[in-house]
Amino acid sequence: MDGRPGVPTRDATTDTGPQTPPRLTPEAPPAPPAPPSRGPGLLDGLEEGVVVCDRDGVVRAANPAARRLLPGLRLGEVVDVARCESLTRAVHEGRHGPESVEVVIDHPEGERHLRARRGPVLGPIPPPPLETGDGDTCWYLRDVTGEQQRTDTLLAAQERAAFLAEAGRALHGVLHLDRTARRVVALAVPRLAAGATLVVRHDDTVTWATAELGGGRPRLGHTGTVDLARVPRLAAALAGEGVGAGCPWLGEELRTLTGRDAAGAGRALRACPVPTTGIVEGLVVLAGARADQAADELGTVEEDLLSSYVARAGAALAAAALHEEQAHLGAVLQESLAAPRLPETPGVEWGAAYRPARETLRVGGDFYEVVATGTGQRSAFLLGDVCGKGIEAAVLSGRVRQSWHALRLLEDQPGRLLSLLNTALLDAVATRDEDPRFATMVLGDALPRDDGTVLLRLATGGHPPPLVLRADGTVEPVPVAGMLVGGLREARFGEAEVVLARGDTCLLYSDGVVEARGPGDFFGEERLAETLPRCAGAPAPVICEHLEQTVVSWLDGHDHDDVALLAIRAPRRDT
Amino acid sequence: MADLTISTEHAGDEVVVAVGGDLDYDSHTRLEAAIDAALHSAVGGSPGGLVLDLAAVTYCDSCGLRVLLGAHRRATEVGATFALRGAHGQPARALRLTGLDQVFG
Repeated sequence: MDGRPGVPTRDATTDTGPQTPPRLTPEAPPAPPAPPSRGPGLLDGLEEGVVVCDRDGVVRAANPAARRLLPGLRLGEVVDVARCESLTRAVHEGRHGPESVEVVIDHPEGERHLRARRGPVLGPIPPPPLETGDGDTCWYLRDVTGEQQRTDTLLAAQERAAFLAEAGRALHGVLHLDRTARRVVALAVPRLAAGATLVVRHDDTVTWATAELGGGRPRLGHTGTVDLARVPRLAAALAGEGVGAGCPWLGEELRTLTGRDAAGAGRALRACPVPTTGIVEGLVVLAGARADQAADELGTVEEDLLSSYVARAGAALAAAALHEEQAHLGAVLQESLAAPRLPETPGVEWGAAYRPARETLRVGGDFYEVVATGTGQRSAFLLGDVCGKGIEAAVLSGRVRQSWHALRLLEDQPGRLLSLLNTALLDAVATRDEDPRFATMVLGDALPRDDGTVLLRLATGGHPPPLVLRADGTVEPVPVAGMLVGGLREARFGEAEVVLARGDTCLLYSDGVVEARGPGDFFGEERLAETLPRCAGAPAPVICEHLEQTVVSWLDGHDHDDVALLAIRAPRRDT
Repeated sequence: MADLTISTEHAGDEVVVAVGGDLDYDSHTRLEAAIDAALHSAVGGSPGGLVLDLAAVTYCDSCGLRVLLGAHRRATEVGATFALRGAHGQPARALRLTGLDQVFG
């Protein structure tokens, strides 16, 4: 336990044998006791350093462990020579002072953390047979450097974890590119840097956000990717071509791109590529705490923390960009699927209602189309429903409507048109390994005649038959049936002709109407047939509106499938 | 809204899949999986026949119909007969409207 031959003189306690007990007095012995010749003393084996001081602060005894911890300690001299102020103060305060002190000392082997506690004064227990003097204090020293380091490491890890948790919370589910960009830079200051600038490229837009210590809310701007030509090195860095350490051009190019000084301009800048999944490209530029800092020793930011931060930023930015793409796609689809404007056709009156199911994309599987071909000509119409919901349904209903628009130019016989559609839809999926996705529909055309009646030609494919509401309130289903469209090669489709007298209406409706489920039951065909007579004589748009409202009240807030209605009416008087 | 229930029974050479509840957009993939399993899990190869018992089905939308059509196709592919039974109410109406009642016989 001892050894340290180089430790200076006057270390009396070392290996003091029982025969030559040192007599330490406040006056301090003029000479050290004789060197040890026997086995170690009782305290010598302790790992804890033990220092005994008298009331004047003179060191009366110190075991080897204490002398290792405080190399300046001298027996017989006041404890001050150990150059450990806190301990010195504690010793001088004696029994009125603190019970324990924690000190950091400048040790020849580096900074050490010591914990000292005042303990029981040693009795005259040999060896060393130390007689206690009144007012003696005894200090037990322990090197807690390792413990301290572990605590520091733990605290630092906790702090890092807290930062990353906060980053996770702040960035999670934002799903908005601008807001995400703002949060990314806001998070970096001040934990990672005195200033942070983020540059993100998504499609043909470059978004930048910048935050600075004391700079308030992060600033944000957009520019086109064409502007990247003005900042070639930044563009290359964005594209993942890497940036070396210490890039003097960074500040300059950021200023060119954003039109303002980079956050923390004048300080050392460091570019950190943001790992993303290819949807966006990103780069965070961090500014060091001091102007004289070299870029590669930027702050004391731990590399692993930095990489976790940019990884979270990248994931959030990619998610936001992806979400915006999808939202845009949904909006475009919705626009293309929006209920079409009904034409004005002399001799035929049109009405429609459309209520998509409450789906995230608000893209329904129901559709209708009306195309006027000219005064006195047949106007073509179509109302149908595709299976599924959301994007899949939107794609299929788009395919059905486009095919109908094209094929009706070649074939105006409703039954044959349905057969062509059936083949077209089956062919469209035949080359793909998927089950046929079918549609059900009613299609046909309306021809206004000189006598004010309207001749309808209809064909159905797997769809509820249209209902005719006569002017007197009578309701008749059109006797027509057919198989679903796009499901079977051998499908057959029924055709019918209906004459609408003045004031008569033909109603085409989707399953969503009769299958609307209220608190109790389906709305059903019977209720529909019961509701219709009340609409007798009403204009076509009014009939559709009334039916839609009736279905909505039946639902009583319950979820529903898409609801589509199309009414074709022969006006009571000439229009 | 009634949750979809599915139970599969092997009766001789036939597999009978009894379905109950709502067969719709939200539930149809479960029936699809059950039918796949029924057609491919029989000891000694595929069963000789697949019967779908729809007696307890309360609602069937177009997604449900698509599963039935797919089941018909798969059964035919493995050389099994296909039959539907028990449909009534809205599911029967849906089968009639789409002409699938004629296809399935």
